[in-house]
Amino acid sequence: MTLTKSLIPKAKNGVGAFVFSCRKIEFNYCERSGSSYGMIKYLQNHLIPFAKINPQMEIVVTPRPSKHPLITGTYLNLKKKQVCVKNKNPDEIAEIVKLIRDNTGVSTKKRFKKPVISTTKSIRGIWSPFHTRPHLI
Amino acid sequence: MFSLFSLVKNYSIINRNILLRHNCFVTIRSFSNTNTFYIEEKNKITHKDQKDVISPALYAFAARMHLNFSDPKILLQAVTHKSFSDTNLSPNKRFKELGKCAIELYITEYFHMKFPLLHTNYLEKIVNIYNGIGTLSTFGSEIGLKYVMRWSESTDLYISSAIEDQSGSTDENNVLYESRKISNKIGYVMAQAVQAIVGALYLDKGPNSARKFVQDYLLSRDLDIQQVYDVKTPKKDLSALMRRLGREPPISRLLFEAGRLTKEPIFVIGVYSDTEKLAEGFGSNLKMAEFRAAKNALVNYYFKEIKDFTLPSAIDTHQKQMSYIPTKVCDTPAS
Repeated sequence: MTLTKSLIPKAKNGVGAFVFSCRKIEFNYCERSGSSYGMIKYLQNHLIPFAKINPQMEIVVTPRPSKHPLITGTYLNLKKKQVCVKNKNPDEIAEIVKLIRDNTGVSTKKRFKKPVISTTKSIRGIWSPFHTRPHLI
Repeated sequence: MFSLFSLVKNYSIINRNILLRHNCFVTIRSFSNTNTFYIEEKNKITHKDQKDVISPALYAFAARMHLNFSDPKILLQAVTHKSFSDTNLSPNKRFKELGKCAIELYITEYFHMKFPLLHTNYLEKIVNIYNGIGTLSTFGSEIGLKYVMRWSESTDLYISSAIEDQSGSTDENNVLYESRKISNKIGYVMAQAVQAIVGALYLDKGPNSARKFVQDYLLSRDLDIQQVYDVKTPKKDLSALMRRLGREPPISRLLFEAGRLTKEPIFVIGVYSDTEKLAEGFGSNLKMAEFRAAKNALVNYYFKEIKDFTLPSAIDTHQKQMSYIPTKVCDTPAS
């Protein structure tokens, strides 16, 4: 037997060392619109302490004129998570930023089909080998 | 009008580390010891060295991987491939050579201690898997090395020539070959960058931190090692092993069977040496079950793990040296 496909050991994040999966957080805001009011307050008061205690991610602040404020988290598994924070106050935004930071970027969509669960009883009953026609040899 | 810009400007007055770009692009550069703000504007450049600026992504990378270099420039040099021309730093080639050997040493040492009875061929195979380019580049892409690495694809002659040497390209699968070449390139560069980071750690922080890096990030990866073990004649090898160990020759005994005359029979065979059962194997015919049983017996013997051991490279003090008992040197099979 020859190994055609090269074996690659799988990463177990957290076994040896933990690699933080949030790579980058981008804050978008508009300087003129009222929906960004809370966002700008957040950027002025809360962002620098947040950046200081979380050195493991890149933090980018970019204006996005005439648009609602947006927070985008980019993860190491190439996924993104975007949350619109229009008309939110700074405390609510801080919660959302924590949520984005602690996310792993793994999709929460269900990959499997829903299991079939029925609340009504089966008409035929559960099949049993002892109550069918006996086996003849 | 809100004045975020002025806020940032005040910060920049405190820290003289400024780059200004026209659309008020604000970036917070965060690192464990230097937290600085800087603004980038297109025309006004007040930063002294434009070429080798350490990007926020690199600072974040260093903090994420717990790399506390004495100078951030060392890390910048370690992620600079030699195809990258717009720099004053020398490329990471020297770091790479050192890191390659360091990774190989620590991985070999670990598996040598862990599987003392393993045959050298398989030990070599496992080590090659763990420090191979496939593993290193996968690791590099998982930690986001792609976003901090500095290289350029076009002038990358060395790597393409290396791949050409590996497999002679034919005309019919040229398209496939080309696509593989491009995908391989970044993998090669990434693997080299990982090696260079280990080499830089070795030089800057000493061998212990390089060993810790290898153990934390590479040796913690999971591989079913028994997949590597492909043996063609397990019965012959097992009887040779038993003869060498001075034990009774192995005898196969049928333990269980079901449905011998049906389409799907199952047999379970145990291999015995004298009265001791070495292993069990299943199969849909007797020959297959016997084969599996003999193979399992060999696996049980050669892949015997040692749980608590001291690595020779972990001995740095005299006290540890006194209490250190080396693992018994392995015996190799007659394969």
